[in-house]
Parts: sequence; structure tokens; C-alpha cells
Amino acid sequence: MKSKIIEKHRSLLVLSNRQIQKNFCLMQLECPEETDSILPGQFLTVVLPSKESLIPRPFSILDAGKSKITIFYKILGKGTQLLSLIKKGEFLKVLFPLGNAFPNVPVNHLVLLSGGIGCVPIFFYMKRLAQSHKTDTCKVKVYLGASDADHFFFLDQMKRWKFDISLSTDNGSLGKKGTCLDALKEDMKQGKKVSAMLACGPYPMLKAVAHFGEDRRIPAYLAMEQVMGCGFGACMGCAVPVKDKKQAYKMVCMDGPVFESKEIQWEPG
Amino acid sequence: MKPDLSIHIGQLMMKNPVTTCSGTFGQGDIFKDFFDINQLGALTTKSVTLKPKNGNPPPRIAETPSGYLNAIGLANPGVEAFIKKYGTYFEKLSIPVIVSIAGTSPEEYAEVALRLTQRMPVQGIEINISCPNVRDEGLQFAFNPKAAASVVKAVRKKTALTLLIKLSPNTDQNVAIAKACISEGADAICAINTLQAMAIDVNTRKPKLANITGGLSGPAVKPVALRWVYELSRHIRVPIVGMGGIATAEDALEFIVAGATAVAVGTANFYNPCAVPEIIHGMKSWLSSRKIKSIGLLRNTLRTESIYNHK
Repeated sequence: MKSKIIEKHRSLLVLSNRQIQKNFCLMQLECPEETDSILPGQFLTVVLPSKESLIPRPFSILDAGKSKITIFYKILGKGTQLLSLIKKGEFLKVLFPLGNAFPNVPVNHLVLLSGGIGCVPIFFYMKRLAQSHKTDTCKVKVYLGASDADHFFFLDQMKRWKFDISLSTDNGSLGKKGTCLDALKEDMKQGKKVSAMLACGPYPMLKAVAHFGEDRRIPAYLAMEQVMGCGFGACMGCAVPVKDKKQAYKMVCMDGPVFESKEIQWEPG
Repeated sequence: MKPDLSIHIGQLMMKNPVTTCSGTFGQGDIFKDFFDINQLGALTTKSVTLKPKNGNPPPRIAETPSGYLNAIGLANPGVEAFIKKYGTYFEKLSIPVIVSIAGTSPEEYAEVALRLTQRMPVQGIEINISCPNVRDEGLQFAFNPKAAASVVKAVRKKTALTLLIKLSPNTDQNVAIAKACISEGADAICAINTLQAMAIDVNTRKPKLANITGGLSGPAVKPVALRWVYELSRHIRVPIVGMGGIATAEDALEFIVAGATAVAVGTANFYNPCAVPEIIHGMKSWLSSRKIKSIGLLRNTLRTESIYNHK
């Protein structure tokens, strides 16, 4: 699934940009153009107001609609540090929507998996599902994983949508101890059916989800990341190894960021 | 007043002096969402090799102050797939197309040039001997006048198209290399390719690129590029295409003053996809506001006289 690249940078007004928790920031941008066509899994790039940090930074979209776009980011390096200092009322050069999106798969026994800040496109997918389906009866289950109890985000909102949600933490401080995939495996031992998985999270998690999906013959669609140079297919920087006779790599920005798990070459080939 | 921006390089007639740096503009097609590619003076493609090349493992990109560090590794589908995929597209363009080529031997460069000449609507060939991110292609020819000239000689035997040769900044031999290449039939010199460079994450002690080293580009390298263009322009008579960190019209005009006939925009395309039309427009305005009738009048006009009369 793909919506068309909007043809140039937009200068968008920053409506808000605040740390909702130490090192985790929520930024809302005003966008007078069409935002309802932006799809969960798609991303945008932001040009930083800096002559020194030139590479546009890619961010998965947390929410879009009603002339607003929201991103949620963790302050990790120089770029996100700079971004966190942007104030309400300033303008940012933004390119969007970029990349493909999570596919529309049948919702019956669909599983959504998120690890850490990988909750961003999962949250967006849940929102769009909530708009089009009866979430309490549609048999979608959401498995959220985090390092500890303090690193679940937007839980209240997710709960309001009435999804069946499972929480797990690495240290056991909230929900089940272990990963979100561990929690899913346990449920399956109890007889849970799974028709497809959509996942976003750190590389080791996505790899584990992919292997699990392949073993059980469950299709898995993964939102992946890679250091990007441009975001629209010009630099060939954001390579991800794939199992393809024609090419050893695909580009996260153009061919992804969502890949079917069986496309990806996880082990050195 | 509308200033005349047109220039020519060998047989290439360009309506303005701005082209793209190979490897920063795809084959042009990607940018059609941003502006009409026919606004370019000429299109320069990503380098093509005889056989397909996968490129290097990720991460391939890292940021440095005012710069990009890359080790893409000449990822390209190979000349056959390239001809099949882009032949019709190039035919529809109204601007000259320069195809950048790379190879592991003079014969390989020559074979790619031959196939392009015979089977594709291209007007120029840029011989890339200066990619720092591949083991076999490139740098082995970049540091030595005889080696560089051997590539030009082999290619010239197979094609009558305009030949440009792209030099590395990582040598002190460029004047001799340029002269040797010109004597074997090169019509123009492109300066410069990326600077060999690296970046390290001190927390993990890992290189930021999987390839360990890469090529540095962007505004950070502009002074180095400018100096090379100036140096070369004092010693050679063929046109120079200046490139390295050009992001604004002023940047481009500085290269013209230093002696370049044309300029190429590279890394700026990544963070400002409309950089090229903006630069062309800016050059026009700059010239017309100063009542300079043509871009040629600005070329090689560096004023080196001192305001002090110290002897």
C-alpha cells in the first residue's frame, strides 16, 4: 500500500513540542493539506534548523488527520536533541508522507506487536482500526513490550479504544516478564489463533518475530528502520539485506519501511 | 535583462551550467515529483558498471559537521539493466544526459562506454575513477597520471561522445592526471569526488559506517573543491565541472569565479530536493542584478591583487 509522495518540502507550523517523559517528546504539526490519506507505517523527514546537522531525520507518524500530524520521538543523538529544542510557533521543513504502510490485512485474529518506541506506527494502526471496526469484538490483540513499567506510552488512549491489550516488560515491573513475543507465544499455547502479525520495534525483536512467523507460517509485516540520507530513494543509503535473486538490498525509504518478514535476509547470506 | 547562462562542454550544449553529481540524483526519475528535470543544464546519472553491484552493507550513511559521510559502494543494476530501464526515459528528456561509469579495468570502462554509445540516447560519459568506497573499481586509477590516462584512452577508442573524467581530492597529482587524461581525449575535468574519511561512535567504539571508511561530501568539503578547481584552472584549458558542497547559487558562482565552466549539485539534493532549480534561478538573478550579460564573463575572474602594496 502506498500513498503518493507529496512533491516538496512543506513548512509546517509547530503546534506543540514537549517532553511527556524524560527524553521522550511529542510534537504536533499543523498541516493545512490533506492528512487523512496518510497511512500507519508511513514516515516523514524533518530538516533540522542547523547548518551543521544536514541529514533530514526520519520519524514514523504517530497520528495524522484533521489537519494535524503528530510524531513521537526519543532524544537519542544530536538531531533529536536539536529537535527537542524547537518551540511552539516555529516552522519546520517537513517531507511527507514517505514510504509504504502496513497492509490492510483481515482483522480476524490479527496480532499487533510493539517493542519500546516501536509503539508509534502500532498506535496509529490501532487508531485507524478503531475508526473502522468494532474493536471489542474484532479479535485483534495487541502485545506491547517495554524495558520497564515507565516505558509504555499512550496506554490510556489505547485502552479507550477497547482493544485486548497484553503488556510485558523486560524486568517484570508491569505485566508479564519477558518480551511481547513471549507473551504471544504463551497465549498460543493456550490455544490463541493468529492470522497475521504487524510489528515494530528494535531489530532483535523484529528478527525474533520473523523467525517465529516463519516457523508457524504466520505472515508478519515489520516496520523497519535504518540510517537514512534523504528519505526518498536518491542516496541509496538506507539499505536492508533481502532474500532476492535480483538484488541484495532494498531501501527502507522506498521499498519499506514495512517489509514482509520473509523478504528480509536476517543472517549473513 | 536575461543573462545568458548557456555553456558548452565538448559537444554538450547546456542551457545553464548546472548538472547533478553522480550518485546524488538517482537517474533523475526520482526527482520528477519535485521539479521538471528538463530545467537542468544536463543530467548526470549514478555510476553504472558492467555487472550489477549490490553496494555495501548498512549503515552506509553517517552525519558529520556540515557533511555527509557515505559508503554506498556504487550500488547499480549493471549496464544492461540500466539501458533497458532508462533508454526510453532519457529519450524523452530535452536536456543532455551524462552517464557516469565505473569499472575494474580500462577494458571494462571501455565496454560500458561502448554499450551506452551504441544503445542509449546519451550525450556524455563521465569516467568515475575516484569512488573511495569500492575495492576494485576506482581509486586504483585515481592517484596516478598513467593509470588514469589508460582508462581515458581505452574509453576514447570506443566512443566519440563527450568525455568527462572525475578526479579524487585525495592526491597531489591532479594537475598531471588531468593533463594526461586530456592528452588521451578527455573533453572536461570534474572536480571533485568525495574525500576519504571516517567517523567513530566513541561509546560503542564502532565505526559509524559498516565499510569503516567512506567518502565525505556536503558543505564541509566545499573549500577543498574550490581550491582544486582554482588549481586546475590555472594549468588546463578544457572546461572544468566544479563540484563539492554546492548548496546555493553563491556557492555555484564561487566555482565559476575560480575557473569552472559548469557546476554540479550533489549532497544538497538529499536535504533540499529543489536545490537545483533554486540554484539555477539564483544564479540568473545574481547575474542580472549585477548586469552581467553572460555566465562566461564571470568565469576565471578571481581577483588576486592585494590591497596592500607591500613588496
